Amino acid sequence: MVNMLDNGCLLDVKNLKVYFPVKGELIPKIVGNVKAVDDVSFDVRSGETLGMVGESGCGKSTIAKAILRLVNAAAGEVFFEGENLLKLNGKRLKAVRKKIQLVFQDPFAALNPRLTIGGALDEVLYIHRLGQSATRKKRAAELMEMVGLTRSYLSRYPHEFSGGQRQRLVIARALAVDPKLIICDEPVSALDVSIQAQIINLLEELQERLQLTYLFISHDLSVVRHICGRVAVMYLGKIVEIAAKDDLFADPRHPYTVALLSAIPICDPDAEVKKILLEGDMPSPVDPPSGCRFHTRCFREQEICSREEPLLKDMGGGHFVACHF
Amino acid sequence: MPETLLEVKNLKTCFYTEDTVVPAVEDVSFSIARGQSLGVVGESGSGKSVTALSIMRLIPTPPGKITAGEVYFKGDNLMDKSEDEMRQIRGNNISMIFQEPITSLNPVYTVGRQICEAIILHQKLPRREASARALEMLKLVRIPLAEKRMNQYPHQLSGGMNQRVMIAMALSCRPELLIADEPTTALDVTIQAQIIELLKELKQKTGSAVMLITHDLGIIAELAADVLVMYCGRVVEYADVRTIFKKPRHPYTLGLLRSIPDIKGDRKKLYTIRGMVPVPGLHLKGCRFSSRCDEVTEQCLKKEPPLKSIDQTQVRCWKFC
Repeated sequence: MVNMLDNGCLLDVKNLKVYFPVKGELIPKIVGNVKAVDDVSFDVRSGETLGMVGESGCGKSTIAKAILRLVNAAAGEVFFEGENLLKLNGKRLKAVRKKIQLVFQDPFAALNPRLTIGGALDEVLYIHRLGQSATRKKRAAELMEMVGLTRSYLSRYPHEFSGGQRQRLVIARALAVDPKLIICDEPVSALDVSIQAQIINLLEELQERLQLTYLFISHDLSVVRHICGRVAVMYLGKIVEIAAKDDLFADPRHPYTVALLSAIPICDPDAEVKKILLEGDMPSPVDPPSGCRFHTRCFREQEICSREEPLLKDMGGGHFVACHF
Repeated sequence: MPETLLEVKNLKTCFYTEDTVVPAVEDVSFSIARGQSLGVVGESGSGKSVTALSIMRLIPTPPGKITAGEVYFKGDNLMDKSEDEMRQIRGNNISMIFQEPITSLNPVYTVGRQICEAIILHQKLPRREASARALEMLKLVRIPLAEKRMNQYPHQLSGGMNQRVMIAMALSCRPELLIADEPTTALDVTIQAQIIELLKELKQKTGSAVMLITHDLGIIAELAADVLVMYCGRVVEYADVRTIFKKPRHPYTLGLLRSIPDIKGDRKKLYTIRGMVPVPGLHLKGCRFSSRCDEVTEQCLKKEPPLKSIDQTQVRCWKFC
């Protein structure tokens, strides 16, 4: 691992809350809130890769967007290098956004179909005022080689590339401004396994070369296990468990993590696995269950669970769990 | 050995564009026995779905056309059937589940009505009996509050729930063969686990044979008895599931297995199959995998290897010829 010793905290999220108002069907009056992210705290240390897993609708992507101020947070603080991002605006915000970049899930939707790749890279550099036309061109060519493509591709349009190549282009664009933190929102979910492996290797190489820090959002636990140092598990807008990778996979404490781990199909026809099947679907975040949000699907549920909400407790060694048991 | 239910022989399906003919599937042969399960794996563009659609004779013509091969279902060649006869078979004897349940369901009818429609059409049951059967099917796929769900529309149900409705509909006429094309790809892992468990259970209860198309080798390991590995429209390896995972022979199968991040494994560099799937239609000489293969020899570039049988495995590689 790179920079394991450097425990400097790069990103510190404190009690972040993001709510989306729900309007009534007949009268457009706010009748409630979707609590997409509800009181979430975590930190990302310099040089590490923090994984964030959970099912769709649990608030993973909303956290990413809230950090970059692409959606407005209802409450909380996000410190990046000691500066509270939620209080910034204008020029200062733009300067910080240069240091945090985002790689999206769908590389087909993330590139402008009417802009050549050279144009797309140039645009980013131009917006952030990084050099004159000639320097920008040189930098674009450099970026292409960095992600394993040739500079002759610069004059091509996105439709001429395959999914894996497009994801490389999106990564190149994120790297253009020399960011410190890259938020990867399901960067390999849309790709075939053989291409997925190439992109994961590329991300790891780049991390080593450029001293990058990743916040890696994914629903694929085997990918997360491969690339991340620490993992946070989310359920319905809350972090239910956060721990070092090896701890989490060897000794999952929260029943949701246990179920999530057992749900992964294993590539071995002889494997004897006792599956823990969760009943039903995730409840709606408009009206989350009382007490522990997971109690409606939990196999260890007891009376206290529907009454009291468990807090994140330290189990030692940086392993935090939000469960009464 | 139970009797053979479906036998596909030398299937070839081409797509005609303005100036070229693209063979999407070529020389594909396999068989499924009654009550058995076959898994089909491969990357996007390897011809998995085209194979399934060809069996159902659902290839849009033009541009597509089944140009060669036979598909025997219970001894009858489906290629000789008239469109009317095919319509009787689809849904009744062979039914299909697609990847995205929400696009396969009609948004303006309740799910109960959609299941009933299939039953009334194929089984010629009166509406009341059909409705009772539909309810029974929804309970079979374990939809909670089935009575209430019968009268709801697809948008009121979640993704996993809609996929259950699709499965209920597909199984409502008790088909002998169920073709599931990426049934869990659009779903979350915990929901995926529920659906896999459901398919396993239903296979036992109803005795349907299952042809499962997926790119997830983990699901194959859990559900399939035999595995067909496809690459660029060709079968490259065909064996039982244990052989595929324990003793893969074709370099592509090996590469696929090695490029999956191991959930038990430690942090090391992932194996990658270099390059990418060649553009279909680009006529390659020799083995189709040669441009990405690590063990490529001169012979591979010259001539395409035949499908060769060695101890109950079929492999298409010069290494074994």
